[in-house]
Amino acid sequence: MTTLVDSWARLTTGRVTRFPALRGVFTPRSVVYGLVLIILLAQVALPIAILLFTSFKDARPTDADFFSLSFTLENFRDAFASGRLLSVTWTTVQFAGGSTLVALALGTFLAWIVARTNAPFRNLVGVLTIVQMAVPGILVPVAWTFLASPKIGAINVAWRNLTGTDGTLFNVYSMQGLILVNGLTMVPMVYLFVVTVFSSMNSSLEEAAEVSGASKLRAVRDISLPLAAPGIAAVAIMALMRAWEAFEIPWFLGVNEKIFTYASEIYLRTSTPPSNVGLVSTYAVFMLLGAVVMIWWYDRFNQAGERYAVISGKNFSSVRMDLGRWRMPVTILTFAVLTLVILLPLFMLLWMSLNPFFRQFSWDAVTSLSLDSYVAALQTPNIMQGFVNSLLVGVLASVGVLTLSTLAAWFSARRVPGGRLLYLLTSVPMALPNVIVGVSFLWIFLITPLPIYSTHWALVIAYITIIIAVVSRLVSARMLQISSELEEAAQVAGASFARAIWTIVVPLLSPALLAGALITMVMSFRELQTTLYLAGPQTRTAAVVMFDMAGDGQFSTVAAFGIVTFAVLLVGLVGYNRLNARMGLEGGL
Amino acid sequence: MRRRNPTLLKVTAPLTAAAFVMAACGGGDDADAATTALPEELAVASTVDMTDEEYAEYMTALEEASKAEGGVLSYYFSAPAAAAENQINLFIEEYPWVELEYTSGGTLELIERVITENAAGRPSADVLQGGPLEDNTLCRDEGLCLAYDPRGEGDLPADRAYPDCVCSVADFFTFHITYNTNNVTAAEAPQTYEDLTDPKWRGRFGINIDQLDWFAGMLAEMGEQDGLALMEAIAANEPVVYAGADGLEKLSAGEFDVAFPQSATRTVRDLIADGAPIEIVTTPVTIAQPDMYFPLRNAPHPATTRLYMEWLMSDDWQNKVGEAVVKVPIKEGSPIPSSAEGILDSELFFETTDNFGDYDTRVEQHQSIFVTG
Repeated sequence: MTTLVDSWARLTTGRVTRFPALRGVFTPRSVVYGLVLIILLAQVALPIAILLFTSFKDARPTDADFFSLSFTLENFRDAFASGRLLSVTWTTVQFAGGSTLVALALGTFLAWIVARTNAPFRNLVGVLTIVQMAVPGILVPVAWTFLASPKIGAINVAWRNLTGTDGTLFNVYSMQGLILVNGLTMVPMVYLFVVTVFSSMNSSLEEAAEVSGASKLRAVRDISLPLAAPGIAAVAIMALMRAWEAFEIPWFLGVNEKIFTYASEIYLRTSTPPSNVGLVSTYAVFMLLGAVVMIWWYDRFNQAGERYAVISGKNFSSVRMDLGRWRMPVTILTFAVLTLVILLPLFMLLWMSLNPFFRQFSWDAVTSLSLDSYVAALQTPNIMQGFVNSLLVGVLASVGVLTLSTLAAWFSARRVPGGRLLYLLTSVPMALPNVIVGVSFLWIFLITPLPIYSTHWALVIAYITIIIAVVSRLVSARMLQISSELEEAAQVAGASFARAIWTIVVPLLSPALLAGALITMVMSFRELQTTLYLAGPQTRTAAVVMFDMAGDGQFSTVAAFGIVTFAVLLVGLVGYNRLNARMGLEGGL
Repeated sequence: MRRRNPTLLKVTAPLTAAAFVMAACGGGDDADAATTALPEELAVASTVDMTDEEYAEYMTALEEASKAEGGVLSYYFSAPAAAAENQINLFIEEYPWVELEYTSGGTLELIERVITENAAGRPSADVLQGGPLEDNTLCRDEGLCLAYDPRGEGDLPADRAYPDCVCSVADFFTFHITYNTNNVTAAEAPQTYEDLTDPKWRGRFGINIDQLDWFAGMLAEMGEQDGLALMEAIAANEPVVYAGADGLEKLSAGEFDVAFPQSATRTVRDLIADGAPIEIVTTPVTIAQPDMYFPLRNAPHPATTRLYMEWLMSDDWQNKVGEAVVKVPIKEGSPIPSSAEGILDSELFFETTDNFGDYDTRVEQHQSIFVTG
């Protein structure tokens, strides 16, 4: 026993004396790297390998000849045969590019307000921005239909009443409508990314610029934004990929005017069961290629990471910009943005939840509002089970995602040999359609002898694959800003690798980690496509329960459940905000 | 500055982590257990020709076997749990030892799961409720359905029997035109699908592109050529395309004045009862879709599966179908829902697996006419 302990002690301190030939090979760092690599290969490389392999096969993974060495290009021919692939790709470029610009502009603006200015109600702004993520995905297009449909949308009805015209102020079914709505749904993600970047910036650099005679605006333009560029570039790429594979908005809103993006086209072309996984994989291959290009592009920013390190051994301060006479106009503008992002959809959700079916605003409708939908929501079979399952899976997935993201980000940022491989493995899943993740893991769990299928672990493993790309970018962006001299100083003082990471790096990463946990929890409640393949009778999540309700036409009940989920998340966010404040970190929300 | 209690943290953190891990280990289904072997005397293909005495003995033995295998029924259905809740609860009332494991999802996901589970040797589903699509895929293509004729099928008239289906059809529902009563009077409302080709309806009606069964049924009833011509004429009149159950919400709100095809089931009836301005039109020929119940060949709980199939076709359930799930029972003479009384005055045309046509072709036609065209 003592010998084992001694051996482990020597191993973990890097001083392997019993086996000199292995000195430097089995260091703590290399062991951790190996474990992370194996897990990521299983989580990410395996579904991607299945995707690539399947795209060249005319058989399904459970067919006897699936592993034969006969391949075909038939799926690629089918993908191009309809002639729609190019036009759909161009439509998707417009949709994804436009959504990304909208989300980037609004999210960055809100992050700046919260993290770097003395605007009033900053905490409220942060909370309201994030809480939009709690709106069930299936309700977003429904809410916006009743807000901005040309015929019945509340905004257009109000416009016509106000102006006496027959015109339409805004058509939610148009390409502009799709871009705006999808962009608004991505604002919280952009905000979470950018606010952690802005909150760790050293304002002494801006102060130095102002002392030299630069105006506040110029200091922001020439100092702050360039420093934040890698982080903003990361989130732009992430938002672009998320918009590329977005399904609900293009399907439910775009089909009205026959606007088809990549995701809705895939859905159309593969809607006959059993799913034509070969064709879906083929479409996903193109998405994968796009993701690789994006990752290469981002990597060019990553290579200059040292230049952007702003969290260093030197003490730094973060002084808020005084808006002065611009305080009120900026506040008004901020709440105007928030109205679009969350207040309007939330109000529509609330209205829907208080009515048995959608009704236009009228005094009669107001006097007949009721809480029946809330009662029905609470009485829905398995609703508590769904909520608890989502919570459980979310917590476990958060632990997995944050651990893998932190370690992968560290190895990548510190340019450890093999670090870029980990970076690639955590980035590429952003290109995987959730349906591919669901089907791939369905096959994997059923084929392997492990009793994982239909358990919570099946969902945890799949969710880690789905979510890790988003959270890894968040953590990476923050890691780029942390200078290596901090943990190097700790190791010089005698701390082990693990201790240096735990006591130096992790606390500095806290805003990103907390934001990552939040994203993981919210996505665990919202994720549907993969869950439909993997959830069993006892592991139905909140999203599956809501899918059931919506399929039954119970939109008012879904809206009620959405409001309740929103309220619970609001409580969680207030707690997150207080935690951030106790840590002395600026602008967590 | 508040000081944390390190001892408390060291104790509670691992305990909390362990609790989460143990909770996550639950939830696995019986797929990992071997399929329960059914006693040989119960592994019959039909109980239609049994005498009363033989049937009574069979049912007693089946109940005992169901209890012995744990009394679990693993039910797969692409509709929400609420849609099947009344039905399953009545079954459990009759057989109180039965425990339901309900798996819902889209049709595509459920079929994928059943095929993959069986191919991997880990079947999980006992019964799947669906329609011609499931029949074609799971039964005819994959051979996963159990050939079993419950006794109640012997009472069905020829036009309501499905001898070629490895399933039991216990009820059916019908497709209709619905309209917003605030914007359209009963006299103005379209009475046939042909009426919707009239220019006065241009852009005023919505079409549900999720209802491929209705499309296939119309082509089967009218003939391929006439059916496609009608569909193209309807599409040329600029319908508003929608997908999913929110069509009824949109109809209520006035997004369009008419919506079809809409099944006249509990959802529509409930909305009307809540005051939604919706009314249903019964066309002279009404497309009907049978509700097919597929017992699966590798069901992990074969005795409970057979028990459920027997109950589905029994007079006990057939007399309750109309009230419990607002569908029309397959057995003639059984009470129908009061809201469906006018429906049976029209000529019913049943859409089946045999008249559906080639699935890929129907999907292609449907999408090219209404979606991508």
